[in-house]
Amino acid sequence: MELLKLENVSKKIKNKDIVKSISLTVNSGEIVGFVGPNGAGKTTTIKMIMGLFSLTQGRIAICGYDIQTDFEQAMKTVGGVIENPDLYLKISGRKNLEYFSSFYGEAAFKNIDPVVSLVKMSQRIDERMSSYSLGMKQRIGLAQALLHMPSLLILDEPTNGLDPIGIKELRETLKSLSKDSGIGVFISSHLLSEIEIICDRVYIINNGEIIEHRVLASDSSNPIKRYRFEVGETELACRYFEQEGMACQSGPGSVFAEMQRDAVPEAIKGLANYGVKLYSIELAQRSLEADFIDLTQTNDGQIF
Amino acid sequence: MDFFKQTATELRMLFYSRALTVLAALVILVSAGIPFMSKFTRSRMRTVYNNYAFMKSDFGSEEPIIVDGITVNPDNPMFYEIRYMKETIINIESGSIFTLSTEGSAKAAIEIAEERIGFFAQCAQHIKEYSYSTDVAYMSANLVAESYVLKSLLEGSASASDLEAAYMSIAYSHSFSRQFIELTPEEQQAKLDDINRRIADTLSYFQTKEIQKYVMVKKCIENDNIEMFKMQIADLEAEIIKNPIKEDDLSMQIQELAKQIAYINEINIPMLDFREKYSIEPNNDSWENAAIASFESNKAYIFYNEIIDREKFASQQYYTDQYKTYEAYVKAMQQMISDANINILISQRSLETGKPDLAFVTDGSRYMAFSFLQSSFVPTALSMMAGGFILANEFQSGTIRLLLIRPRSRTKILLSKYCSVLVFSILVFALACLVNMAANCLLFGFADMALPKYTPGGQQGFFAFYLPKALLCILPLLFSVSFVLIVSVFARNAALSIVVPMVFYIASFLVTQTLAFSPNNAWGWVKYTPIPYYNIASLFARAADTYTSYMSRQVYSIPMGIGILTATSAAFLAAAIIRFKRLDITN
Repeated sequence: MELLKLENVSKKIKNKDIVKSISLTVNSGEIVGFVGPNGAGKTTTIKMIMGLFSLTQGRIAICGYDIQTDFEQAMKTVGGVIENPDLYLKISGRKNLEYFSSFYGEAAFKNIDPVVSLVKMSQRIDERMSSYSLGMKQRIGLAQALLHMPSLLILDEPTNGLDPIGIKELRETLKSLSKDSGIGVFISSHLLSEIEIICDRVYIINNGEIIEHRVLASDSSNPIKRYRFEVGETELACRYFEQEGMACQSGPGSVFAEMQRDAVPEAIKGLANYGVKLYSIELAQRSLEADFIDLTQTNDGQIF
Repeated sequence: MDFFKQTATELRMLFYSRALTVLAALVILVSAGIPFMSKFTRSRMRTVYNNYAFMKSDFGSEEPIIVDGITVNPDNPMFYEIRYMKETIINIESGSIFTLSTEGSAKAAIEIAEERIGFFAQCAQHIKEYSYSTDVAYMSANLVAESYVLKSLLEGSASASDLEAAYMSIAYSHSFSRQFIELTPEEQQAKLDDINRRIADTLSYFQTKEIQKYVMVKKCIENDNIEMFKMQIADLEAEIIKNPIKEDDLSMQIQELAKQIAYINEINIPMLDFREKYSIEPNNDSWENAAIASFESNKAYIFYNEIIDREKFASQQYYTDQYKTYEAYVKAMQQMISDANINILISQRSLETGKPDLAFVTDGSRYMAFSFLQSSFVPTALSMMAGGFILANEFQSGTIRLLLIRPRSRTKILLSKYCSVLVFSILVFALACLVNMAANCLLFGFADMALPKYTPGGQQGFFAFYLPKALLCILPLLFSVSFVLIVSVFARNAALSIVVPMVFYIASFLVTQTLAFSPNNAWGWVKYTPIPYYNIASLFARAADTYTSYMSRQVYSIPMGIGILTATSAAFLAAAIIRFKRLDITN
C-alpha cells in the first residue's frame, strides 16, 4: 500500500527553486532513504510532506489523503521529527508526550508508557527535558512521533547526536517497526552509510532534484548487479546494452552495465555478435556511498 | 468539544511554566497585600485630612494671661486674640492710634477691647485646641463690639461719633450709621437683645458642643453677611442714580454681590440644614462630611460654570482652543453639569438614607475594591508575558515544528493558544480581584459591602455596580493578548512580542498623561486608537479623581473604548490567523 506519494512536487522560495518536481513513494513495511548533501532540499521536502511548508506545485498524499485538502486526516496517520527534536525544555519528557498525545485522543495517552520503553527512556522520562542529552532528546522525538501509532514515520536526520550504540538501536527499532508493524519509514540523512543497511530503497536528491532511485533489496535470489566489461569499442558496447534495456555507463576502455547474474552469458554472446572485442568481465559492485559521492559532487561540490 | 479540551491542555501548559506561575502568584499576593498597605499608610495619614491638625499657637514660651480669674495658656487658640487686644489697649492708652482723637473714643475703644478680651477668655475655657469652633469664636467676636455700641447708645453713655471711631478701630462695619445710628431706640433695643442672645448661644455652643446650636450660630453669621451684601447693593444702586455713567461697572459689582448672596442661600444654608437635620459635626473624617463636601463642591461647580453664549465663546481664545466648536463646548459643559447634578443627588440620597455611597467612604472596602480595578494593568502586563511565552516562544524554540504536524488546522491551534492565554489572564485578574476584595473586607469591614451605590434612577448593590466595570477591565487584557499574538506571528521572536506591546502599553500611559495636560486638546485622532483606552479603568468616575483621569473622561468615552478595543483585537486576531495559515515554518 502506498503510504506516501509525492507527485511532481516543487517548492520555490523567493523565486529560487529549492525543490524541483520531485516524485516519490513510500509503501507500507518499507524503509525508504532520502539522501543528499546539505542544502539539497531534503528538509524542505519533508517540511512540505508534514505541512510546515506550502507546496508551490504538485500533490502530496499520505495514506491516500491529500495534505492540502485533508490535512487533519493525513496528519492522523503520520508521525515525524523534523530537523532537531525541539521539545518543551522546561517540562519533563512525560509532560511533553502528554501534551502531544492531547492532539490524538485517549489511545495516544495509553501509548505513552509502551512508546517510552520502546525508545528506552523509561528511567528518565519524568526528568526535565533541559537535563537531557541530544541523544535522549532524539529518543523522545521518536517517541512523540509514535504516540498515535502512525502508519508512516518521517524522520529528518534522526541519527544526529546519537552515539554509535544509539544509532544501532535506532536502526533496530526502525527495522522492527517496519517489518513487524508494517509501518512505512521515510528517513533522510546526509550520510548514506548510516542508513544504507536498513533501507529497502534510496532516493538521492541533489540541487532539489531526485537524481537517483536505487532498490537495495538484497534478499532477492537473483539481484541486479553491476559488471565491468573491458572492451575495445565502448560506444558500440553501450549501444548494445541499451538496446537490451540494461543500464549502461561507459568509461575509458570499459563499460559498466547492470544485469542479473543469469543474463551475463547471454551478454557475452550478444557483444561478440555485435562485433565488440571483449577482453575481460568483472563484478564491479561499488558501494552505494561511492556512487552517491560521484553523483552529488558534480559542479565541484558546490552547494546550490 | 475538541477545541475546549485543547484550550484546557494549553492552559495546563501555561501553568507548567514556573516563571509564569510564580509571576501570577506574585500578582495575586500583591493584590492581597495592597489593602494592608493602604491600612498602614492611611493610619499614618489620617490626621492630614483634618484642616486644623497642624495649627498650633506660636506663643509657647510666653506667660499665661489671666483674665477675670480665667487662665489662658499660650498654647490656647484664643491666646493670640487676647494678646493682640491687650497690645491694642496699650497702643490706645499711649495715644498712637490717631483715629481715636477724643477721650471718649479712646475710652470706648478700650472698653470694646476689654469686652472682646472677656469674650475670648470665656471661649478659651471651652476651646483648648484649633478646630472649626475656633473659627466660630473669631467670627462671633464682632458681636461683642456691636453689643457694646448699642448698649452705650441706649444708655447715652457715649457720643455716636466717639462710638463710631472706637468701633471702626477694632471691628468693621460697612455703614456704621445705618447699622446702629439710624435705628429707632426700639429697634436698637431689639437688636441688642438679639445680639446678646447670639453671644449667649455661641458661648453655650462652646460649652455643650451641640450641633444644633452650631447651626444656629453659623446661620446668623451667614445672615449678617447677606445683610451686609444687601447694604452694599443698596449703596451701589444709589451710586448708579447719582452717576449713570458708571452704570455698567457698578451693575457688574451688584451682580457679583447678588451672586454671593445666592451662594449663601443655595449652598451654605442647605449645608447647615443638613448638619442640623442629621447632626453632622463639621470637620471630622466622617462620611457625612465627605457627602456634604461633595454637595458643596458640585453645587459650586454648577454655580460658577454657566454656559456662555456663542459670541462670548468665539471671543475667548481659551475656549476655542479647548473645545474647537461651540457645540462641542456646550455638550461638554452639559455633560459636566449633569455629572455634578448626579453627584449632588448621590450626596443627598446618602444623607437621607444614612447609607453612604462608596464615594464618601474612601477607607471602606467598597471603595478600596473599586479602586483596585485601577491596578488591572498588572494582570495586563502578565497576560503579555503569558502570550509571549505560549505563542512566540514556540517559534523561537522550534517546538512549532512538532506542534504543526498534528492533526489540527493551524487556525484551531492558534485559537486554542490564544484562548488559553486569555483565560489564564482573566483567571489571574479575577483571582486578584477576589483576593483583594476579601482582604479589603477583612481590614475595612464587611458591612460596607452591603451599602448601596446611588444612581440617577435609584440605587444598586455594590456588585451590580462593580461587576460591569470589572468585566470592562478584561478588554485591555483581550487587546494586549491580541497584540502579543500578532507580533508573535509576524516577528516570531519571544522577546520582541513581549517588549513591543509592553512598550506600546507604557507609551500609551505617557501619551494619555501628556495629552490630558495639553492645552488645546492636540492629537484629536488619538481617541480613535486604543491608546487612551488601554487603562480603561482610568475612565471610571471616582471620588478622589486625578487630574489626568478627569481630563481623559472629558475626551474619551467608555463606549468608544469598548468599540475600539474590541475591533482592534478582532482585527489583530484575524490578521494573525491569516498570516499564520500561510506561514512557511522556516525556524
